[in-house]
Amino acid sequence: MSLKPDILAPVAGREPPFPYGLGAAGVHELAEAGFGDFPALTGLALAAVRDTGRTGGLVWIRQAALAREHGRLSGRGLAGFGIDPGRMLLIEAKGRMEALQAAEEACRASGLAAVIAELDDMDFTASRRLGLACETSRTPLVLVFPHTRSGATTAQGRWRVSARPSAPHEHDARAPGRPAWRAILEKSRLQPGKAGRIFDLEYEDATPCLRLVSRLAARPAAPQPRRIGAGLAGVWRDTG
Amino acid sequence: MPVSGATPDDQAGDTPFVLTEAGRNGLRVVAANDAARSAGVEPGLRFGDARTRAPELAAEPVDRAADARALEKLALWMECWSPAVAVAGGDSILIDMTGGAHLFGGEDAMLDHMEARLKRAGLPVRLGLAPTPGAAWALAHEVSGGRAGRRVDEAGLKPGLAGLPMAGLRLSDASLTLLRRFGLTRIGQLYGIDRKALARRFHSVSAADAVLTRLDQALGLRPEPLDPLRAPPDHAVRLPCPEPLLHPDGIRAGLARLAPALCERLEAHGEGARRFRLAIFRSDQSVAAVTAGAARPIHDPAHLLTLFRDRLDGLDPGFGVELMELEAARTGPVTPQARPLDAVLAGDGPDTAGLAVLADRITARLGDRVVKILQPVESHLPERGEALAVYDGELPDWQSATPPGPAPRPLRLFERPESLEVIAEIPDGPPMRFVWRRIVHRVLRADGPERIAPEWWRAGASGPGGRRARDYYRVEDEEGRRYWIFREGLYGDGRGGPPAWFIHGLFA
Repeated sequence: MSLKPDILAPVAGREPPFPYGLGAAGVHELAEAGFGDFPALTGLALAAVRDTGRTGGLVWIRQAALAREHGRLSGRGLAGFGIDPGRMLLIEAKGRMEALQAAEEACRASGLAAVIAELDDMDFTASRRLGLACETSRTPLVLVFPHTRSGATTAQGRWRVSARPSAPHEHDARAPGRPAWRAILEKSRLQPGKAGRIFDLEYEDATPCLRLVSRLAARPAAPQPRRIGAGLAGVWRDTG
Repeated sequence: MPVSGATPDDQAGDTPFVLTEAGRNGLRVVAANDAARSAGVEPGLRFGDARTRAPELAAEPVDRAADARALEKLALWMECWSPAVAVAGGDSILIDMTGGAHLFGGEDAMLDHMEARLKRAGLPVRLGLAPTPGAAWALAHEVSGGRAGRRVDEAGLKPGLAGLPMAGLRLSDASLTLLRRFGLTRIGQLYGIDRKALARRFHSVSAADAVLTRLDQALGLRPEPLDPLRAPPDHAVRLPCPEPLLHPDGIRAGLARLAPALCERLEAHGEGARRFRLAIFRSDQSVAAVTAGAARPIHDPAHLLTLFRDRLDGLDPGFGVELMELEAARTGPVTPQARPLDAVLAGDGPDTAGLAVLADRITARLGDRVVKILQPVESHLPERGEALAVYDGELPDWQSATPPGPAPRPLRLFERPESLEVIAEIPDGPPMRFVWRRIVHRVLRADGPERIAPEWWRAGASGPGGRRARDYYRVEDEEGRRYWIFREGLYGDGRGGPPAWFIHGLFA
């Protein structure tokens, strides 16, 4: 089998900005930093997919065991997150094999905004298969893994995501503020030099978008983080 | 024009053999083979008497449930002659052959074909063909019936039935005994009798009615609709195999020929179908079938073949496939849709046709009912406010769904709320710390409460939150994880003991 260079090697001059193609093209992995960070992964995956602005259907594949552990997607929660639940298909796979089969079928289809799959683990062969399936249809695939995920992969990148204490609410200091996450770029094919970097992210509800905040803001006592950057591409900005 | 076939109560072989059943007065014979009959053993005889008449008699207890299963299996296989097949009584099968006899070269040829086919399978049968189910039943159950008497037509119905025994009318034993006491043993003897006079002889009106109803049904004066085992399909195409197919590839090839034929027929009617069934009739009188479903009505042969792609492995050709049948059900109009070449040009909204095709492909691989959608429901209770419904080609409309209010909803929801142990600062306030799944979480920030009242107008509102109001809080622990927890009830609300705490969802 000849490996095509364009998905495995970074291409000079075509470097996508942060988050390096997450949710926009190719296969990306999100993994929990510790048990209990699954909602943070869900939020980051959905925010990344939504921020690409791709229209079309969304396919969410879930494995039964993970759904029991971490609950299922809520339609009203999605609506509050700026995603129309009416364009989403939920696929209930019993085991890992079924989830992988469904993910492969979904990746082959064109015209989808994105495919998001919750898996408990995956081997190298499976990741290669999914990569090839995505390559032909150009459907982005986001894989969501529990904290046990490790090992080799052909995905474009792997992020370790954890929840982060939010900044205080604007109107009520005792209430939780906007969702905040810490994402660590563990592996990256497109930006190998950036591997290991830490990004502190905050979700903005008023105009749904993600933004990167200074790492200083991670502390609860920190002042309200300033919005950095403007314009279309400025929604994501690397300051870390 | 029903055909009635009585299945064998006689077994091949020379040793007398009977089936017995325990009754009130000991064992009785319920069925006997030819050898036993020739020795004078008839059904209804006591087993002890039968033993005296045929000392070397072999016997086994009857298993009526297994008999009924076997008869139903045989009846399903008989669908290779007609789609309307019904099981009648414990030993008979009724087939509606109306308008179908010419396909087998006429009525006589058809009966010969059926008889030969079943004889070859080791199933001795008696066949009767008549314009009414009752008459066909009577013909088939005439014990001494020869070849000449097995078929009557419209004109010969009345004279043809006249000589048959009264038992052919499907009457109860009590009625038969009573009629025999009057000297009425042949069906023809009832023709000229005064009906009111006959009714007076019976103990009850219903018993007399039953006799006359059966007579009228046999003569075609009252309708007797057949109750088929399976509803006849909306559309079906068949492929008889000149030689029995032995290899699964043969089934695949057969399906590839059936699919375009069925789709052509569907298209001619201007409709598509959502449910397909492929049945193979095997040479050992058994049928195997697989079904496949589509999310929306289709009449595209290639799409139809994808639905069956992974399911044909479950079909075992056994000793050979003689006939294949592809049926279509749940028909509906096909909505043709012109889509732009590129999904980006399609503008807002997902490509519903493309999603339906994808859903079908996944359903074909993973099984039915795995592709779901979130359906909004008008209810304030979070667990009732949306339903996971099976995707059937229609995407839900969330734009017109009532928003729950300004309070945020969690991204992940538990199907049923999980119990918590909580320490709260004040009885009606948010918790200070809580234990969930044996891990202590210290609450740093909390927002709430949002009160959701129980739906008292719904009968059967039970479980957590069935009768008590809930106060929902959005809390964040020291690690920054955000939870949606609620207290069910209040202190002193008079609806049970102290309030209980639950976790219902997880915020991103």
